Amino acid sequence: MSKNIIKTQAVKKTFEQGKIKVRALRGIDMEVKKGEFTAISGPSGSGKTTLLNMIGCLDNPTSGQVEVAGKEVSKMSKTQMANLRLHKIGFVFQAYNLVPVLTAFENVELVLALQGVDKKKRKKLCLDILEEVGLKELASRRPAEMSGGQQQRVAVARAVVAKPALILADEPTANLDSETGARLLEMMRKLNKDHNITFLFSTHDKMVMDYSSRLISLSDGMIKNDILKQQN
Amino acid sequence: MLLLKMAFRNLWRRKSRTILTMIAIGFSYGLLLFFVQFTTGSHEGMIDTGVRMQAGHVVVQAKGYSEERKITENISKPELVLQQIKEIVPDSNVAQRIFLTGSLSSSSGNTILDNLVGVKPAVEKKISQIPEKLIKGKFLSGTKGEIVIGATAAKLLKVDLGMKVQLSISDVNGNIKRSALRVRGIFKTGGLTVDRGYALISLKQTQELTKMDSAVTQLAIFTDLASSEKIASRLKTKLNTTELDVLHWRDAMPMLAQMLWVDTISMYVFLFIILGIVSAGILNTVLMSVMERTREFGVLKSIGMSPWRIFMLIMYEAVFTAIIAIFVGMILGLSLSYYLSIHGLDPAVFVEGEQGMEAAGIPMTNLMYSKVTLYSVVWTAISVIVLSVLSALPPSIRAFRIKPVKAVRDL
Ligand SMILES: Nc1ncnc2c1ncn2[C@@H]1O[C@H](COP(=O)(O)OP(=O)(O)OP(=O)(O)O)[C@@H](O)[C@H]1O
Ligand SMILES: [Mg+2]
Repeated sequence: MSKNIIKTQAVKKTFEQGKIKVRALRGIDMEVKKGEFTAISGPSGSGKTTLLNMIGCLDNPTSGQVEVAGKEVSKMSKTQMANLRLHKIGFVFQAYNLVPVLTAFENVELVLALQGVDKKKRKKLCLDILEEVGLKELASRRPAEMSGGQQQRVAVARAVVAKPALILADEPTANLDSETGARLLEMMRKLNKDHNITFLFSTHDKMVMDYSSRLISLSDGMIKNDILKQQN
Repeated sequence: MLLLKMAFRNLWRRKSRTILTMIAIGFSYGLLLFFVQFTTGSHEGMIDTGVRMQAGHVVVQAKGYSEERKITENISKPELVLQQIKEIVPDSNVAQRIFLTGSLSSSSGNTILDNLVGVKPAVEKKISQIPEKLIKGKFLSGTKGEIVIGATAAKLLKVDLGMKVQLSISDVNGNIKRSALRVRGIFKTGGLTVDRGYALISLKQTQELTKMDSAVTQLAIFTDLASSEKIASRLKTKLNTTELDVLHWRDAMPMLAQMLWVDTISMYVFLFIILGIVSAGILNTVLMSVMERTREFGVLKSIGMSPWRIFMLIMYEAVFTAIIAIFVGMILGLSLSYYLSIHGLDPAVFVEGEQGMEAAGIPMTNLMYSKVTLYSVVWTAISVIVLSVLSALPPSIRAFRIKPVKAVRDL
């Protein structure tokens, strides 16, 4: 008996550039349950990023409804959306995720600080999560002093630290070599299992698709395939 | 706290740009601070000179005296008025004076006196700048038959210390009175008309010559400049009779007041120009730094930082820049100002060679001193900070509005 973290209904998104209309999403209906580790694949321009943005409350759909953690998003104000992101959603982007002037520790701490968690508790949570992603030793380094893989692990730690309902990751391994990418995925899979956090990826990466428990393929702004794999 | 930390560290991401901006703001602020303090100080100096020569911080005179300055419009019982004044401002110096016009002649020449002042030497010594300006002889001693004149007058009359001059004035009935006086002292202020037409004799003798008995034309009250306005209004309520007028120095010396006012206005114009430059500097720097960081703000917003926090982040950055710059500028401006508050600046540097600098009948030859006050430091600093907040407004609003999608799109 697992409830839905994400529910979209007939989500459409049309970008208008002058006279040209780009129909990035053409009616997406999908549901994601708690604890799923889902990958969205599809050719470039198929609408993966656009879909993640709708789910992540970064952008509003042209029509249709998006529900995240039981809340209807489309009627929310900007501040309400910011609040939902802060408390319910973690983000990992392709690159440049981190605040350059903050250390690894502070980058992770930022989310908790914004949530108003007190300092002592923040410290413990941050050190624990950095330990989990294997970066405790690099806690006081700034992003510029870390490798791309290390930076992505900090980004994952930041996304996970507040135990959000959902983590959205837009091509998190795209800038990493396959070995580093694999380790990042391994780590995320472990966090997914240990903390029962829902992950939703977009990816071109075959390996990410292999790791996922569910694979949704997009094509031309529509869902072409939705395969629930055997849990391993 | 993390926000403040971020703001502070963000300043040093573009070190040279930030430092350059800080230097520009700091330099402008230092200049501004110095300029304000120097203007204030030099104005106070001019007021002081004016007040000592012609009026007082507050002046009491007969109603209607201002119009033609006739000696018939006088205060007939000055001792009574003096008592009343002392009740309100006990620790002030009050000079009793008679202002006259007349002429001086000697065997070899004559000259007009625009300001022949009858004074009580003992009191006047404490007030007047003339004793310091004497180039020869001494100030009035109080005995009859003495006069102190300016260097130009002495030259025109071809007289020297101890020599006789003939004074002609008219008494209260309009009759010409003559009196032979000896030159007791010769002063030089550098003011053209002052050195020719300003002279001092004893009050008692003036009263006798003019048949004024114990009357005077002016009671000049010396307190301190800052409280002069308050004292003037208190004296006004107390001495407000049909016979007496109480004037603040501004009303007693309207020409001087107007001149200083014009100078103050030009100071504010200068101030505005400087602040305009500061404003443009901050706007430019902050705007550039916001535009460079569009993506970063996108990320911050995605992870749930509210637009207001982003707005504040930019504001903090601008205010930090201003505060650091202000400290640097303060050191600069205050050291210059402090130096000139001790050593003064010779006004001759502003004018080419020529002697005789004067404004509104007051010699402008004294050294000009800057006035270091906490108040001026604070209000100029606050203006710069307020200005930096205002200048950072457009870029902050821009950052406020950045859409979080930017984080994902603009790779
Ligand atoms: N802001 C925008 N303005 C105009 N068109 C846009 C905008 N964002 C996306 N699009 C268009 O919408 C379509 C879907 O884009 P989207 O970025 O979602 O694809 P994607 O599947 O993430 O591609 P990729 O694999 O290259 O990241 C594309 O045709 C794209 O050009
Ligand atoms: Mg994409």
